[in-house]
Parts: sequence; structure tokens; C-alpha cells
Amino acid sequence: MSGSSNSVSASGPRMLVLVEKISLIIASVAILAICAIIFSGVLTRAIFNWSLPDAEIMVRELMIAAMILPLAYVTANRAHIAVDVFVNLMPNWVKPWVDFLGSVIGFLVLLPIAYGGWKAFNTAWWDGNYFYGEFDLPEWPGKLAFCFGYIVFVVRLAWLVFIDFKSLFRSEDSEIKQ
Amino acid sequence: MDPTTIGMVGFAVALILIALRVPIGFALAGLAIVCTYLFFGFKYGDEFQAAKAIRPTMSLISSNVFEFLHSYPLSMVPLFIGLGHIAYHAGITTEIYYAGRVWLAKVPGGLAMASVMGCGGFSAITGSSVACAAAMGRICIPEMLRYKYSMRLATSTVAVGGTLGSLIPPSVLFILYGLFTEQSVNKLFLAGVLPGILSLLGMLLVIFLWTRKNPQDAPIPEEDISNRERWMALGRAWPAILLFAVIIGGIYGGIFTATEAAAVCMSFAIGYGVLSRKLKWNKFVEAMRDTALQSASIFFIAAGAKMFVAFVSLTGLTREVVGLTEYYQMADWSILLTIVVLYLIMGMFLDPLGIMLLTLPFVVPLVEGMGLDLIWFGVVVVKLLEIGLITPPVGLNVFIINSVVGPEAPVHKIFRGVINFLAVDVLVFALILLFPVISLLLPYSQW
Repeated sequence: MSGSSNSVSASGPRMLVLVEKISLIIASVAILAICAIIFSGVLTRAIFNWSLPDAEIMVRELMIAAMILPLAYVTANRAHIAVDVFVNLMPNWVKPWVDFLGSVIGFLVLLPIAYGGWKAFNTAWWDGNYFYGEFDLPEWPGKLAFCFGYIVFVVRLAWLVFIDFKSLFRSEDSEIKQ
Repeated sequence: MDPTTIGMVGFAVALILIALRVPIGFALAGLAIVCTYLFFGFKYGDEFQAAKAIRPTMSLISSNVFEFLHSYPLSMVPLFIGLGHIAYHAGITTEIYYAGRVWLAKVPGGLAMASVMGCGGFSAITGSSVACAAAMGRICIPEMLRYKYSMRLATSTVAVGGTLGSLIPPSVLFILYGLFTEQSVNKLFLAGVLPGILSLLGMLLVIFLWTRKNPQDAPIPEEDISNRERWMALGRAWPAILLFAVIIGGIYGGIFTATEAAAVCMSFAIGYGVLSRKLKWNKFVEAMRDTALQSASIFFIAAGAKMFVAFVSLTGLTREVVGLTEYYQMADWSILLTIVVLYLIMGMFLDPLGIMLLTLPFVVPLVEGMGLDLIWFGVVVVKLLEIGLITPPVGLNVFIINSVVGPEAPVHKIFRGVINFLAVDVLVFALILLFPVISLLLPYSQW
């Protein structure tokens, strides 16, 4: 159980790896920013009886970046939570097929979500939607983070499908040689 | 095709996919997307209308994921996870163990007891059972083995102690339970305190009885520890004690919400780590990276579950389940017993988070229908999931300890030790089930 410990790890194209690493850094900074905003809100409330305006909206927007942007990196490390107790009982030749199945399902599942994310960003950008509040913060940054995170996630899964597909034949070759 | 059939077939397919190592998030989201599409396709008549189904399906899935994550209360999850990682790297969590180790040095099984207390203290800050088992396993087991403790006692103690992370607040499982059942996370945290302490006492009792029966499993160390050393060790544990006091005291006293408690504690842990020079830059970066990765993988499952819940409410599958229990005139206790058995069986094979999010849409309406308290039921569910973490054949914590220690501690040996604790754990569970006051005393006496 826990992180799906698949057999083939995926490093991938350098550009993709770089984007994933940068996304992870942004997500970490977003978590720190969430902490700072809420903490400063508690402090200012206690000392000055005043709260940071639109703090809740900022936290909600940062949550999207914090939770979506690392997903491609998690996928690249095959660290999604999965149950491998049954697969471990199966013969070795089944495992590459199971990996391939997981990657294909993931890829197909994410396509509509990524497309939905793109459409939502497009609408927020062109319509100039914003949140009601002191600063009238725009809606597009959160939608952009969501859309971008899912697109990178889809690209990473497409790469995994390719890798897992190749490993199917590699494992068959090695079995024939044996 | 009627919605109930779509729902039931979809649920079965999701279970098969999960068993085939498809990541739980993919399985739940995939099931929700396909079944929602089928639902809308068949909605307008017997003929499947593919084109008409696309738009409502798309709008439902993408808006559901976004709206779920675009949440202020959910931000406490990454903050508590971050607090755990920072506290670990700043040495806050380990000081509790060292204090317990020094104070209990002359008690038979004292090191094992200190390990369980260390796990309890670690859980009170990090909120994750798995993280607790992994981190404390690296510290406590080598120490116990150094003092000639038996491998069975040393490994099983930490595997079992690690489960306290789910029950003692803050707990990630409680947060997600609260959000999915629309219950107060503050109340859930308070509800977990007494059952958590009860579980901890149960574990200490098992160690006490074990070492009385088999003194060779836990020889008493010969080193002399002065009173000064004892008090100094306790003094060094002040940040951990303060953090727990801030989380529980702050929430119980109504000073701040759980989300605010998380932010305050994480800021304190960072500040303490920097000022005490225990938190190095590379460790800080590592802690934040791990926080982002762990949070994202938890949220990915939760987002999949959110889509799944939306689909279940569309199909009316929940009504069917409630209707079935009414049709067969099942007594409340038999429904509850069925739920308990279901969780215990699923807990043997599946991930706790996955089990909880997969079953809540069906189980919660049943419990609500019986007029039972959902805060109490949250404690019952989390305790069951906790037991699942150490139940053979999967018992996630046992496998984690096995990976920490290596081949010298084979899984079957750890399981044989864990069995001793399981009996008391089941007893504690029975007490929580039969006497809801244990869980509800603190949340309903809140200031």
C-alpha cells in the first residue's frame, strides 16, 4: 500500500522535469504563504482587532497552487496512493500490464478535467471575473494554476503511458530470452 | 440503464481497479466521470444520447474538483502536515521520546513505554500515523535493540504506537471526515482526545503485562540517571508540550479555529527551529517539499472522492442503501455491526483514506437515519481505520516498520507482536462504541 511502487521509474524529458521541479517549488512557497497569511490574521486580530482584507480569498487561491502544482512530480515518482497487496501476489509478467493500465486510466481521466480547467481559465480571463471583496482580486490566477497544473499532469501521464507501453515489450523480450 | 445499476456497476469496477494497483484517486475520478456521463446519457430516455451528456458531465467534474480545492478550511491539511515535517526536522517531536526514555528508564519495559508515549506526542503534532511510524521507527527501534529488547517487542511497539496519529488531534483523517460529512473539525479534534489517551493507556498496559510475563524481552538498563538529567530532558520537550497545548487549548478555549491553530503552530515550529539553529536550510527545503508532495497526493484522492460523492448523490444510490435496510427491517445495532465488520475487512486490505472516502457517502446517511451522533461516529470510523493499520495481511504500519528496520524484522514477526496489542485495541474500540460519552465529553463541554 501507500505510494504505488511500480517497477519502472520515469525521469522523462528535461524540460518536463524542470517544469515539475519549478511547480513543486511554487507549491511549497504557496503553503508558506498560506501559513503566513493566516498567522498574520491571528496576530493582527489579537493585537489591533483588525483582520487582513480578503485573506480568505487569497488562501483559497493559494490552495489551488499548493495542491495541484505538485501532482505531476508526485506522478513522476509514482507516489500516488495505491494498493499493491493483490498485485504482489500475481506473477511478474502481470505487473507491467497493471502499470500500463494505471497510466492509461489516469491519462484518460485527467483529459476532461484539464480541458474543463482550460475552459474555466479562458472564461475568467476574457470576462475579467473577480472576487467580491476589498481588493476585487481577479479569478484568473487560481484558474491558471489549476489549468497549468493539470496540463503538466496530463503531459507527465502521457509520458508514463509511453514508458509503460515500452516496458511491456521489454518484459516480454526478457521472458523469451529466459 | 437506471441510475442505481450504473452506480452499483461503477462501484464494483472502482474496487477492481483499486485492487489492480490503479492509484485510488484515478479509480475514484474515473468511476465518477464515466458513470456521470452514462447517467446523463440515459437521462433523457432509453436511448443513450452521447452528445447531450458531454456538457453536464464536463461542468460537474471540473467545477467539483476546483470548488473542492478552492477552500479555506481545507488549508489546515497542508499546514498540519507541514507542522509535522518541520517539527521533526527541528527535533521537537523527538524530545518527547527522549524525555519519556529518561523518566521511564528504570521501569520494566520503560523504553517501549517511552516509544509509545513518543509516538503519542509525535501524533499530537503531525497528525499522520504513517509518518509517525516511519519517523519514530528510525529513532526508537535502534535504541530498544541497543538495550537488548526483543525484536518482536521493539518493532510491534512502534507499529502500534504509530496508529495514534489518526486519533490524537490533529488528524488528517478527522479533517477530511469533517469536511465530507459537514461536521465541525474542531469538535472532531476534541472528540479524539480521550479515545486517543485511552488507546495510549491500553498500549502501555500491554507493554507492562508483556514485560512482566517475559522479562527477558525488556531488560532494565543499568545506566544511572540523575534527577537533574530527568528534569532537563523534560525541559527540552517544552516546544512539543506547548504545541499540543496551543492546538487543543486554543480550540477548546475557542481562541482560534483548527485552521488558525495549524498556522500558528507551523509558524512557531519554523521560528523555534530557526532560532534554536536546529532547522537547517536544506532540512527546511526538504520538509516543505515533502509537505507539498504528501498534501497533493492526499488531495488528489479527496478530489476524486468529491467527484464520486457528487455522482452518488446524482444516482440516488444512497437512498437505495437506506431503503434496503428499511426493507429488511434491520435493527440499528445490526446495521452498525455490519458497518464495523465492513470497515475491519476493508481495513485489512485498503488504504485508510481510500476506505473512508469511498464508504462515507453510503454509511453516513445510514448513521444519520439511526439518529446517531456523527462526531462520535467519526471517532468510531477513525479508530476502525487505525486498527486496520496493524491488522494482517496488509497492516500498513507493519510494512513501514519492516522497511525501516530491514530483513532482521520480518513482517510475520512484527505481526506476531502486534497481535498482543490488537486485543486491547479491540477492547478500547468496544468502549468507544458502547460509551459515546468518551468521545463526546470534550466537544460538547467546549467553552
